[in-house]
Amino acid sequence: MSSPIIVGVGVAYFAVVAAIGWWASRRVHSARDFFVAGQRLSLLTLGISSMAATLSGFAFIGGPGLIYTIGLGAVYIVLPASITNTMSAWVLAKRLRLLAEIRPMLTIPDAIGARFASPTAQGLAGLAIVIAVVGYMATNLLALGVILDAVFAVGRAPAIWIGALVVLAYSVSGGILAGIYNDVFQGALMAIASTLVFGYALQAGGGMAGISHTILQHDPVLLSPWGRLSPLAAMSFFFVFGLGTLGQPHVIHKFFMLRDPRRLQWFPLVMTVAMTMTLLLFVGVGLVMKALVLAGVTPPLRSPDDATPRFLLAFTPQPLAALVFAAVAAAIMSTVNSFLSVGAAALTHDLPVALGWRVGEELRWGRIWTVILTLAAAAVAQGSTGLVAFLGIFGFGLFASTLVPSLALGLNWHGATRAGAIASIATGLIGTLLLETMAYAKWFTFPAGVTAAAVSLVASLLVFVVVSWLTRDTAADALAPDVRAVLDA
Amino acid sequence: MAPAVVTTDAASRGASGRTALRLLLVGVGGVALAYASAFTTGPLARGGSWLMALTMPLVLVSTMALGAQRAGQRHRGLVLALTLTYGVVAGGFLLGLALPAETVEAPLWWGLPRRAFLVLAGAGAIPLVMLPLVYARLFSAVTLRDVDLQRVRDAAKAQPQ
Repeated sequence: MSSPIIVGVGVAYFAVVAAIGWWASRRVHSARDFFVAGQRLSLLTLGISSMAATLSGFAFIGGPGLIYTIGLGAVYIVLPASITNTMSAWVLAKRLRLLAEIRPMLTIPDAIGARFASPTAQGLAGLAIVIAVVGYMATNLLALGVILDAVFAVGRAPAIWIGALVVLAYSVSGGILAGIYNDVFQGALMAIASTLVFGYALQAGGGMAGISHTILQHDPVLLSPWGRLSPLAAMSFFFVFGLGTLGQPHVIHKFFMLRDPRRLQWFPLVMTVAMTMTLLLFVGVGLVMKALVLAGVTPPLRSPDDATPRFLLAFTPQPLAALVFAAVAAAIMSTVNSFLSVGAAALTHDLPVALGWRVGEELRWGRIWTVILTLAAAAVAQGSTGLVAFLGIFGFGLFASTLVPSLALGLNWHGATRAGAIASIATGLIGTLLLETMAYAKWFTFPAGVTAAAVSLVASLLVFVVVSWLTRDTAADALAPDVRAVLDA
Repeated sequence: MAPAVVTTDAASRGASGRTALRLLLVGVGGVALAYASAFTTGPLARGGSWLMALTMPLVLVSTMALGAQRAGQRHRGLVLALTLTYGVVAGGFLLGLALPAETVEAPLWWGLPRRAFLVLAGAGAIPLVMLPLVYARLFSAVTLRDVDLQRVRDAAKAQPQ
């Protein structure tokens, strides 16, 4: 795999990332610059960087492998994007951006704290973010190590640390500002590479009809509406990845950063175009590799995760393969940087607020926590693949179950109360950790279609509404006049 | 031609929000029951998928409605778009459950077996194209007007520091 072209493109990619990091580091002068990019993003920057932060390396490696294995059932992980881009705009974008008009907003827990006038709710949300971020980052750094090792052949452990140090270098110097502009470069790379690869996939498989005919002749279940999943499991993916998107802090905190809130008008369209282009590879490569293997054109894969590398090396020109390998690294690094930003912000800002501490020099502490988080995640990634697998499982679900009720309902329902928010965040936190631990340790097995993330999300939603209703007399107490103006807008 | 926006009086202020919240609760309850059905066997377990197909899109669409609604207004275009979204998403899932499996020789629809095409079109392609355009079209009427932004900025100035 380490051909001169692939190595050359890889080196060029890292040079551009470093140059953007250096450029951004000269523009960071405050915690506001470091955590929310000084609130001066254009619409296009917001849309592309949000897409890049949303999609990790899974969209390029794990996702096509899953399609190869379970067929169309895997599509339900990304299919909710048909709704989520507009849903997040209606439900969150305006309210979060307007909150940034009335209060200094650095973090998503800041928004929860302001909405419910509750440092406790803010601190609990920050705690959930820190727990989820370490796991998510470790998973992504391990994936980055695998890719860098494949391209540069330096060994898995050194590759993890090289990847971690590159992300750390631009994150600690340029903060989210460096991350955002790297996201734009990386997101554009991901979208272009994915679209080109999709074209080659259709060509190699004889068009969509040709791919379908081949698969239907050998393994028709893969092209049934639910693939190898049960209908309940497929729709459960759609539910968790649909509603759960509203609780992903590394994506939605970017709404604070838009320069002019009126530009949100075109956000769903920009995000949808960018995401659709980037996800073409996810669906196309998984299906075409299955068809090519079933037709005997290419030998069976050793591992489903080989679907993308095998297709690129066998069926696309080498410069395009090199571009996609760079795009995979880009997808991972953009996601890691976003996690670093929200994790460091939670440690620097939200947890001290909950404890009643005042942190001087938030910019310096933001950088210190960025270093500590990166080193911790890299150490976990290098030390234990079992631990990485466990931590990686519950990141999305923990964000969803702890943050979705307080944000999606709390910012749009005057009747939501402080007690409801605290109870639902605690339910999501405890429920997800408990159920995921029980499932991972095999103390308990969920029936097909039911997951810890789904159960915790449903439970925290119900707890939020029921506790808010029981404490409805206090609803008005939690609403400051300026926050009420945001909810009324 | 009827006006697109119907402004209600102060007494019914927030009624559309309450409707959205009630639908959301119904949806979440239905999803919870669908998951609970997986712990059972027999017809109850099979009914879980149908319940999920009906109520899960309701959760997503009513959440959108809760975010999109404005106090004191019910916009017909918005109601129509969200109702249509629920119809195509739930309809796609229900058709996927209801239609019999295709034979290998059956004609493809846009390169896919018929059931897969219907589900992916209903839950994917149609809302993917429709919703961002509806959002942009209704933005100044439903989502954010200059006067709203000014009101928020005035409230921020009035807030003691």
